Amino acid sequence: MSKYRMVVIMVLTVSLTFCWGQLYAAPVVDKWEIPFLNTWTGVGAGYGALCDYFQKAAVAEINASGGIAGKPIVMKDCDTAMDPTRAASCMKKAIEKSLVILGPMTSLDTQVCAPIAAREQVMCLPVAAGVETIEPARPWAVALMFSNRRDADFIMNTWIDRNPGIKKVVMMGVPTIAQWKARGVFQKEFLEKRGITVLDNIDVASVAVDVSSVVIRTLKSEPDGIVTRLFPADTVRIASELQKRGFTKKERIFIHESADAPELYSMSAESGNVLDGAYVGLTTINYPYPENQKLLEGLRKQKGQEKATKLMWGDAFYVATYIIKDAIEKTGATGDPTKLKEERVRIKDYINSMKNFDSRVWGTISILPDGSFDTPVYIGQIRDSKPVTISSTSEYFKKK
Amino acid sequence: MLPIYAENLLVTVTVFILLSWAFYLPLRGGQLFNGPVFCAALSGYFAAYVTKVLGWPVPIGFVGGVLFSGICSFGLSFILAPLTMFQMAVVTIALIFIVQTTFRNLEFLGGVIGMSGIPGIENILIVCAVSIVVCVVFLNRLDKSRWGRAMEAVERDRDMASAMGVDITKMSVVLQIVSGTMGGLAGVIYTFNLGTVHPEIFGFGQLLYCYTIVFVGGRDTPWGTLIFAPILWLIPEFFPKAIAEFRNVVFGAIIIIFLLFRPKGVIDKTLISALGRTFRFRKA
Repeated sequence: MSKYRMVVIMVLTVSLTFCWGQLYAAPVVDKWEIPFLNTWTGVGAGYGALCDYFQKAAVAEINASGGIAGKPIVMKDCDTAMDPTRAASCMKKAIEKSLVILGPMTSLDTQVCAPIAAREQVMCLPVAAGVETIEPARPWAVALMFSNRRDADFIMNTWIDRNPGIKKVVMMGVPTIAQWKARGVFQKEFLEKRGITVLDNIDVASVAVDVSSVVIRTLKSEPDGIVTRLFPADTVRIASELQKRGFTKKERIFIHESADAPELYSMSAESGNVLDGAYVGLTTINYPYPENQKLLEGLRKQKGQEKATKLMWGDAFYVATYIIKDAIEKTGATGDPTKLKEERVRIKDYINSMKNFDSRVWGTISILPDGSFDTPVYIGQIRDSKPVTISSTSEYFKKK
Repeated sequence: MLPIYAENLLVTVTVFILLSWAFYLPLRGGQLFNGPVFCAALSGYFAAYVTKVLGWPVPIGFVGGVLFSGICSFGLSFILAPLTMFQMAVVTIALIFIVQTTFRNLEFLGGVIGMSGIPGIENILIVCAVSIVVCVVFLNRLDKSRWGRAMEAVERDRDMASAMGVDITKMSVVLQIVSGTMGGLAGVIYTFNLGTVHPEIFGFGQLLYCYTIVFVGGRDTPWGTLIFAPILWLIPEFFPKAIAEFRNVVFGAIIIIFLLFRPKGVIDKTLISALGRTFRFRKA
């Protein structure tokens, strides 16, 4: 037999053996590898670190109690760096073999990644994105944050009900954060539905050097009320400047966005309780559940969170990890690569029909038709530089 | 068909190669022209708007986006051409922020949220390959032409080149138009691949990244960019997470080291000539 023929036969034999082996090798899935898209570097790294803590806490708990269907969960981290290019790369890497994807964290990353997940038909659970951001990717993405529109309906109407003298409002916001700007649009809509005139919508550059020009412009239009969507430091400085210039009815100030940050209250206390009386829109409160308290104790051990009084919104990653556990177990997913497509669809259908899911830190939550969950949000008032909860969306929409 | 991740890597690398070449070209002519970044934004938004909102076919949107960026850089070039290197750098950085802020405030273009759901390009890898080949042939031919020699003269000594008869203003205009068009090409490929356009995408970060590629790869020839753009992009993709998180530190250190010890970059004309001599010798 010629050398050439021998080589051809050897190559064919090896190839067939390989293919045969691949066809008949039993798929071995001894762990659940879930891609986790988060921001460990870049501008959002501080928030990313919090989200990482909550996600790891959930994974540790799940693995300690036997994992998911008896197999441990392993998160495959991918740093989006709050860079859309990196986020897209992370998502495209993640969708190749995964059942479901946790993240991404930020609105911009979600805007880029969720449509990719939808195109490839893989379920993703972004955390900070509003329902408006995930809408193009429905039903392959859900929003664990409350719907911005319903949130605005609740907080603006509740605030106005408690301040019937408000007829004219000035709004202030950071112009570069899409999610905050979107909320501002809805807030304006609900104010105008109540017959309130929005006199001005002032863009305040984050950590502005001097806020007096903003305050002068605000007071010039003689508003009855002020709505802010600013970072904590700017909120406190503007409140101080308003007080100095005679705007002393603090109950007529509504603070959103920074209301969940502990530094808002510590800075207010340092400035002589300058925010006392102001209303705040709160994403989370200090729930009495044992898991909530356990997470809070762990959170206080994280750098910079020693004075945390409640969980930050990053606890959504904790809840999302448990949602993934529930979805895999209830749908009977095996992780078998040959059944990937059908198992992905089952997980998607299950998550999109979740009712009365025990989130462990927020109480029971159910998904709404628009892809958001009915996680309650709250309105509070600041007293002695601490937020005191007044009402929640659960009560509000029940009455409605 | 390639896996989606591999395809995305190749497309992203193509975008950075084209964008870095768009910086390289004016640099060869002694200009620090940062126009490719805002031209990429202009072309990306144009292509996104006409395909998503107006419903134009993707190929028309693609070509239209590239032409739009070329026209914009043509218009700007008459204002920017007489500027010195430093003046051009400052003005074009300012233009990046102006363009970003403008897009952030144009509600019909999505405002701060931008636009998503932009259709993709079929056979994007073929488009990328053709773009790279056309650009590298063009840059290589330009380098070896009379224009290339004139650019080199301007880079070395602007006044001397002018005294020798090089029309610096005309050269500046042409370089800006070509650079802006290449930036626009990178912008449309990027936009159609990502499916999203957003004001924050085309900003200072892209600028620094492309300059790293050009200064490390080599600012004498286009080959350095071709080789180092994939390397620098893939470092954070394949390094362990603990190292990848320090990519900005790594990039900063790389650029400092190269500027100090090898200011022309890894691949310069001297190296290429030496390689050429070696292979000619071996052939003989």
